[in-house]
Amino acid sequence: MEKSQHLPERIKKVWKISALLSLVVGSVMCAVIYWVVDHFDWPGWINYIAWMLVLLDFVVELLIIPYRYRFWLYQITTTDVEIESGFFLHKQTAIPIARIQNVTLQAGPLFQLFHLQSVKIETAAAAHEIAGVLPESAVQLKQRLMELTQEEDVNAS
Amino acid sequence: MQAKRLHPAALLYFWYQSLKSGLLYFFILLAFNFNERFTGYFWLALFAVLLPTVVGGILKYLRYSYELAAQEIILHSGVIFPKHLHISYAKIQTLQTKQWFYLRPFGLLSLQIETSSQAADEPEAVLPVISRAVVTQIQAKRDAVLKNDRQTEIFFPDRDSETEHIPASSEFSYQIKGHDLNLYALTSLGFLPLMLGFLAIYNRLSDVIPQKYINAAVKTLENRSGVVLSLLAIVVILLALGFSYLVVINRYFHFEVHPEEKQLVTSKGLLQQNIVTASQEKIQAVVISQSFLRQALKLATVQLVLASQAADEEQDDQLVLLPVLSQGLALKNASRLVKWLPQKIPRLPVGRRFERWKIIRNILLPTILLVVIIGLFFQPYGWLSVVLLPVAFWIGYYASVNNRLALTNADVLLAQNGHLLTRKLYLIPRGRIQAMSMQQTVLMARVELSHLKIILRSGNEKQVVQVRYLPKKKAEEIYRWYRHK
Repeated sequence: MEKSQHLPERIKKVWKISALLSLVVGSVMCAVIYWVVDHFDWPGWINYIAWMLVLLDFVVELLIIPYRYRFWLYQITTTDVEIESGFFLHKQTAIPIARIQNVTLQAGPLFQLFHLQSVKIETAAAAHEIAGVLPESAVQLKQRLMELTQEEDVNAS
Repeated sequence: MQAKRLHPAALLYFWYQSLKSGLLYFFILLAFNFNERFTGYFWLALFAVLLPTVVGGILKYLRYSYELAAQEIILHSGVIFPKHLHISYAKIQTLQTKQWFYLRPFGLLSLQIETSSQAADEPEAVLPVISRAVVTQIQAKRDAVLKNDRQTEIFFPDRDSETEHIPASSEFSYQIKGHDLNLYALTSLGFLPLMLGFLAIYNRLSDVIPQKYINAAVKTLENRSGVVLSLLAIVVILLALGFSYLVVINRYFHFEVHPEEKQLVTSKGLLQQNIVTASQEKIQAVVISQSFLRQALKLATVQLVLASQAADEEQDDQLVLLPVLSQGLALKNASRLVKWLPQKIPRLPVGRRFERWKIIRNILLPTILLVVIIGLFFQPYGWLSVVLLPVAFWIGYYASVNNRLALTNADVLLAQNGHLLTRKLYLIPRGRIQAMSMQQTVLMARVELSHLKIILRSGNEKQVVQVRYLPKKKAEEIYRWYRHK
């Protein structure tokens, strides 16, 4: 049996940048709201609430990054994949390799920039995601899953 | 083999289909009839809708054909974009026929074919109107393929091979008795959502009906007040009861189930006879469900969680295997139809007091909040909503005592929950569980509790069976059993 693995360190940076991006998007939205409030004579407090929500989201997103990182674990054994995440709501999921139907590797622009990939593991019922892995381990992981899947009986629906 | 057309009566089906969408456009046109501008052109507009309907129906009919080849069935369809669908007999998982009463004298029915493919939320192929002979032909070809499969199995013997599964299952079949059907319909709780439906219709109506009629009606009601209102309520309840009774009778009329090869065949229905032939492999779990009412009468229903769309129209998307039978017989009879089911199951232990209390608390607290809000905003009558509290307590208590979990020694997991006063016991073979999760909040971790989520496939989607507030050790034990460690 292997030990549980953390996500790569780099993912913290990605999370930070995406928090920043959501701040930018939020600011644009606040600007739009500011214009609407001004133009249609809506009450002014809407502006404050909008700004507060955007800032709160940014701060919370930044603050929980270390926790998110610390409690996000995954593990691939010869029989199954296990994914573990969350501090306030801790969740631990086991997906037997015999149940896996397909594996999707995916990388958005940010992930590409940092050479990361997300792995989506799909069963006949639902999809489970490993938030981010290094490309070489993603390919390894995919190959490993495929090898193991071939050994197991894949007929089960 | 030559491609064959559907029975000419299928023309009516295609006309009906295109008429439905045609009339929609027609009504949209009428709705936008501002300033009465189109009024003079009413007949012209109707004609403009009907013409494409009639011609389109004929074209669709002419372009729709099927071919029964040696190894596969081929469907040709489409007027502008021709489509050719190939389904190999070996891959057919579920066959479903539906026959409306008016087609019965002509021996015509509609056939739906499903494979394992997950492409869309509908069957892979529909033959809307064909004769029974064609259905028999398709079934025969498919059974022949299945038999061939079995012969190859003997060369590679495994646990599923012939000798083992024939004796237990092949003889047994079950037909519903009139008395049982009656009981099933009478104890249905379907009238509750129906009543909500009536209320919703009333709401809509009161938006549409001019205010003066409503005012007049309210005035007459005010004069007679109490008596009339309660009479009205009784009439609504009786209507809902009667309607739900008829719906159940219609759906499960002449219910019959028997095993066949590696399949289960259920047939039922009064106005529309519905026959489902589902492969045993498609069964993901067996559910024994009892509403509080049926529980009091010691009656149970056995349902199947199927990886197939055939059960879409049924309650909770689960195919009914045995509609109603006495609690003690449920498992015994079901195990004669589904071979992996154990004949007997261990007693499921009830949760400890503080675990049960957490479930009750989770529903009680929001209800108290709701009552306080309603009470404060709608003084003084809002405080009448206090009657919700005992109801909430009942629902919570029911959920808490029925929240149970156990393992049989036959690698079948027993998970039970009591959602909205209906107890459901899921019997799930280990190999059918797609994934399993343990979930806990920080507060639960402190008292060593954990939820257990069992993820199954139902239809084309996932279904999560949850057992809440288990002792962490117990949840971990099941989780390890699932992981084989």
